[in-house]
Amino acid sequence: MRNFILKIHLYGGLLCSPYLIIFGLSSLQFNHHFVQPNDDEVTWTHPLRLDPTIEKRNVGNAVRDSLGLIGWGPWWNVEQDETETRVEVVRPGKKYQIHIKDGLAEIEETRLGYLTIVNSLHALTRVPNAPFMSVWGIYTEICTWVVLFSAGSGVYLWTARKSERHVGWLLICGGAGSTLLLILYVLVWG
Amino acid sequence: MYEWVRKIHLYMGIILLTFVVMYFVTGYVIIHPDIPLLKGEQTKNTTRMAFDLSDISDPYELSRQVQSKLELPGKRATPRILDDGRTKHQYTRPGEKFQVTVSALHDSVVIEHTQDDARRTLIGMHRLHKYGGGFVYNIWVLLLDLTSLSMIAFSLTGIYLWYKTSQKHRLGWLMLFVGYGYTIATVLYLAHAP
Repeated sequence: MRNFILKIHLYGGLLCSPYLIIFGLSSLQFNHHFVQPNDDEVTWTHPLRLDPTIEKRNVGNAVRDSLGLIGWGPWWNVEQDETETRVEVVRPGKKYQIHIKDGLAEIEETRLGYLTIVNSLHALTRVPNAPFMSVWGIYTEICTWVVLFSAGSGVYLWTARKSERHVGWLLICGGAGSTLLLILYVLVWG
Repeated sequence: MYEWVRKIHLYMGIILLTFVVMYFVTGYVIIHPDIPLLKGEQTKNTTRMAFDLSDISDPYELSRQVQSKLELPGKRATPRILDDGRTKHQYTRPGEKFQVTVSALHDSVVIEHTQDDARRTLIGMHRLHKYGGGFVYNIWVLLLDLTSLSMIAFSLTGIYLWYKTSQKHRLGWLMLFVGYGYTIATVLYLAHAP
């Protein structure tokens, strides 16, 4: 039994090793914002005529589909007047400002850089129009369970060792106790 | 060397165990927003009251004084100054948010109180980021920083420990290849896909 648990702890950890690094880097980024996105811009055009019957709510995603892009076309970033439609499509690593006028879409593509992509992989489960990215959702799920399993199995594997028992229990009780007190304090009195 | 790395892996794990578990459980709630047991109603109510802090001009100090005077819990956010001279101050803690709008003359306030359901409370715990906003919240964010560093350290020390303790490496290399290969492929895909 111990050997089986050790193997899952070990090989699950190796499989999820890059995800742990991504979790670590992106969480540090949330606190410190040390990486700023690049703003490399490329502009291109594509013939595009919008179906006038499309509701404003669906215009962003319709434009995205017509241009063969992946990502989200949020309705709150759609602006329309009599002559022009402006749409934004966003996704990890890139964003697009699209101006549609007289049957032509002018697309300003901003490439945000590799580090921004790494940060946005934190708990990403899917990207619309990108079937390849649904595998990342499965990987996210696996890694979440591997970390939770490793937390429990790590304690189990440590208790099987006779040495370091006292200091280990002291640290585990001190760590768990103070963390639980902090959580309780923030939830009740914070 | 091996003994040091093993101790780092072990002690870091057992000290940060509870925070790591909390962080991943609350993260799981974000990626599975439809867990029925946690869903509930979000309640909001608004109160207006007279107030006097006309002697304070600095918005940060005003934010501190408003929180202290109204005895509001939560982490202070950066105050926002509106065009008409009013200032907005936000105090959040997991499960609860107070948005206070102070009049331009600092003589009245509008307090909007939002009470979250269990799901939003857990998400609030996960999203408590950035230093500032009170001592307790700084400790929380420090723990989050330590947990983030520990994730990187678990990963690297884990690889070292596996390499040193295992006699057969084939399966381990395969796991590393699949994990890192897929991650690199994903990053490249997102960088270059249309």
